[in-house]
Amino acid sequence: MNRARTRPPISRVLARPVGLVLLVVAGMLVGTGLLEVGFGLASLDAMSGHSVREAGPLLLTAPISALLGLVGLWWGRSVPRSLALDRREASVAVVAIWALLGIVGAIPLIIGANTPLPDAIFEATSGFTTTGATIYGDIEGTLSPPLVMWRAVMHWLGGMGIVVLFVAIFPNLGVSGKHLFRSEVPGVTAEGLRPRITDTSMVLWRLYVGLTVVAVGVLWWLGMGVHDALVHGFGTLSTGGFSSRDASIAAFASPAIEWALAVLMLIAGVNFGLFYAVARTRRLSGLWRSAELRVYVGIVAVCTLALTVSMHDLHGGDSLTSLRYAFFRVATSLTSTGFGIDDHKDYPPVAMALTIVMMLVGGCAGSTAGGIKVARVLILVKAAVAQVRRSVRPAVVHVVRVDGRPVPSSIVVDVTSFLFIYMACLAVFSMIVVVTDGAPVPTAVGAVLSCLSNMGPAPFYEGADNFSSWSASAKLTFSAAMVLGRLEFFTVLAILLPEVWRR
Amino acid sequence: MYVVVVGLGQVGLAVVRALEQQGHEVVAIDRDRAALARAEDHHDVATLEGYGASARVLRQAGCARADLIVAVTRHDETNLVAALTARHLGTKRCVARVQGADWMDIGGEDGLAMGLLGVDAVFNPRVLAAGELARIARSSGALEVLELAEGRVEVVQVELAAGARVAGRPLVDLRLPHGMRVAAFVRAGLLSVPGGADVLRPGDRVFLVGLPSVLRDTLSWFADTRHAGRVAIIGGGVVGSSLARALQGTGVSVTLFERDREVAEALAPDLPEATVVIGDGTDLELLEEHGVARADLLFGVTADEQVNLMGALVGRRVGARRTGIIVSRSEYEGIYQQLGIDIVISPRQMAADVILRHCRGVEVRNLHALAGGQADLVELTPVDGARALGRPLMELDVPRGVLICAIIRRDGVVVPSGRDVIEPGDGVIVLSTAAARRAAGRLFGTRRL
Repeated sequence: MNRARTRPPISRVLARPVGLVLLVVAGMLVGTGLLEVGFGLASLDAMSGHSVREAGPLLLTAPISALLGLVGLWWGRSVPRSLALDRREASVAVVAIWALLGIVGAIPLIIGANTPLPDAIFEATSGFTTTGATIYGDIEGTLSPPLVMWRAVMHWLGGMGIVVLFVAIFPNLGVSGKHLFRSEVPGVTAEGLRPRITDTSMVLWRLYVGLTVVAVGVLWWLGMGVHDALVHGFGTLSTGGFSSRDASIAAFASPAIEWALAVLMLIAGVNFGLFYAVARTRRLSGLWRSAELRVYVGIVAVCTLALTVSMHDLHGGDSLTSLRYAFFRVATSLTSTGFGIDDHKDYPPVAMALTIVMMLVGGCAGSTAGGIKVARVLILVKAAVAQVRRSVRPAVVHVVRVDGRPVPSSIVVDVTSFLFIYMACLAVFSMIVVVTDGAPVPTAVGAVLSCLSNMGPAPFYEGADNFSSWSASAKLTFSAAMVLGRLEFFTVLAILLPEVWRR
Repeated sequence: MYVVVVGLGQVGLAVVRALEQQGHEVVAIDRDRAALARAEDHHDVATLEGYGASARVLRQAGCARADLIVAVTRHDETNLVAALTARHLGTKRCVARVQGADWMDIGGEDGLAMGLLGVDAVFNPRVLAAGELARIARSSGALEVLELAEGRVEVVQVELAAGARVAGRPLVDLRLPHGMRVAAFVRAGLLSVPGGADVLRPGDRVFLVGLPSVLRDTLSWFADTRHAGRVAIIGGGVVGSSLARALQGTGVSVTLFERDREVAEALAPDLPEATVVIGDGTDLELLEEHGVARADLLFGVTADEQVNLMGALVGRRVGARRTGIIVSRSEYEGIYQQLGIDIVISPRQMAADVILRHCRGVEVRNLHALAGGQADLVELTPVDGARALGRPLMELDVPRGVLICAIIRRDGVVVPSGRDVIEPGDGVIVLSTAAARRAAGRLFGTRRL
């Protein structure tokens, strides 16, 4: 009985999960394509009065994605199904999936809108990472409604995470599923909602779908067309930010929609685990017990107030109008969505500074928002205070507590390393684009910050408020920054380690 | 099912692995961070660091809504307190393991007490193992004897002897009597469920299932069935002393080797019929001197697996006819058998079996893992409306790797042929390979066996 345990090479072990994810993407392409065919036939919407043929790029890309997926399955056919991925393989798989998403997602844009390859990859990566940064200056003129919808669907898939979806719909992944999940949703997460990762993923996706349905319904009820309501509903719950209009939300000129969207964005920035806890215990009081949520709400309140005051003059002294603009700006920046109703180029310096701070902080852990995350900021602040205290009274034991529970020092180290990596990436990527494009430093830093925090619109932009004027190499650099930010650094950086590839 | 497992030792891990495979939700509690990390790395379960008997930790683990708690830490009292606390918090069923000598008497020879101190099941796997070894010693020629359906059905494992009359012919030609059949055989470490064309060869390990009386009569067709008159036991711990006690009054002459003088002297008064020898059970001369050459069975049952193995190998060299050992890791059963050990019993596997019996659906009553977990033997009642009910078995299209071994009725047990029908209310005993578990479950209306 010779049971030698040699592990198949990593490329073969990965091939199956990666292939299956590509099949899921193919399914979504078909679904979106057919939906658009339906819109074309029914012309439910003034804007979507497009011809059925415009859904072609999506339906054409589906077999390409499916074929790639089948090649993956074929390549991994010799790997026994019972073989569980370890952490290392899961990290590589997730990074490979996200790299492929950027390429497969770009194909409809290349076929349908003649977009150059680097631009299309930038756009698709921006879609899947829910950044919402675009290279299209004229969306309504360049993109057909099906392509607009595809950008929104990319947001939506990337928002809760395509790997999380994959884990939810393939229940027999076992521990591989857990490692995959953690590689896509690392750090302080919503994990632990349920003991099994399949159940956790299912819970998250159900909540996500449910909230999306509500959002689309609300937007439609407030007067958006069905097509626009879907596009913006997808873009909101995923905190993405791609709009169907060049003027973004301002194009609808509806204060009601702006208020509703702001609230929906803020909801998308809350830890989904809290929603689950509320749904399970049927008590709202659980929400307030979360320190992270209290701080999140506090940030929203304080920043809204400060912005309202600072922009009072900009809006002609009308308090309600400036409150609306301030609230929307806070929601869109803090949750890194990137929808806009005004141009922050006109902002007074105080408002601009606040916007940048909010982009850095981001939403709650376990939400679809980007940034450093409120939970991390909370731990960082408390750890910093404890450290200062320690310097004065070294003999006293200083405990960092969140929600009344002590934070293990391993987590404090994790969070501080995260902050360092975030800042280091900000510096390095800014440097790269300063060198390659000769851009002014604030412009470069603003663009990189926008990508790392998956925000979208960049502060201190030059020329038009989009990424079209950057060079091809800069666009690919930004794409890398978006994936790094979306996967929260560790997973992506791990695959650069030599020991990940050695056995 | 939502299960809380307290203690991630070997049994804990085995239970976690089995529960995960069956698709249950598992939360594991341990104090050892390394053990938790290991479980995290290899299993899709949630983990919690803390003292398993603390109400706070148990509440955090979700004991209020748990269906089952399994307490298997190293400390017997912790296990009992954890089970009781969980029960108090609202856990529906609780199972605790004890293994110390102080808890030897619970549940008598079975080592399984139901309802002790308000815990649904308290069991001592070492006593369970001793009971199993005693059954083997009392039966003639068997390597394993499992009782099912309150003793109305037995499963016996034998090694096919060189000159056995059933060897070398296809199973259909064997004309085995009614009331028994060949359920499975293990060749080169791999278990298979045989069809009529399969041929048994000497050296195969064969699982026979049937009525105890029929099996007793046909055992000689398969194996050397000389009665075990002399049994040597190495180790006077929980297993050794329980085993020796179980063999009292059965006419078997027992020689027990125990290295520790105090333990040996404490044992001897309890075992008037046995000879208790103070000395190292791996000492060749000592074994020879005390007649192991004429022993029909030698069991190595100390707490140390390596001593057991050495003792059994030495005993074999001295001349013991058959040898058996208890081990901590059932995965190595195949390796031990290659080394010439006939009987390998893992108390930990038995513990896992006992626990898993509590995790199966309500309709599943009993479970035994065969051949290191390659197949399960399950006693169950098909759910109303299950596909298996109401039609002859030959029309059932029973999946590969599944065998319906017996139909249990109030008025008797049937070892079925193709014409027999499972009626509503009947119990069945099913053998299923690990791969066929799900298909077997579908047949009887449970999600999986």
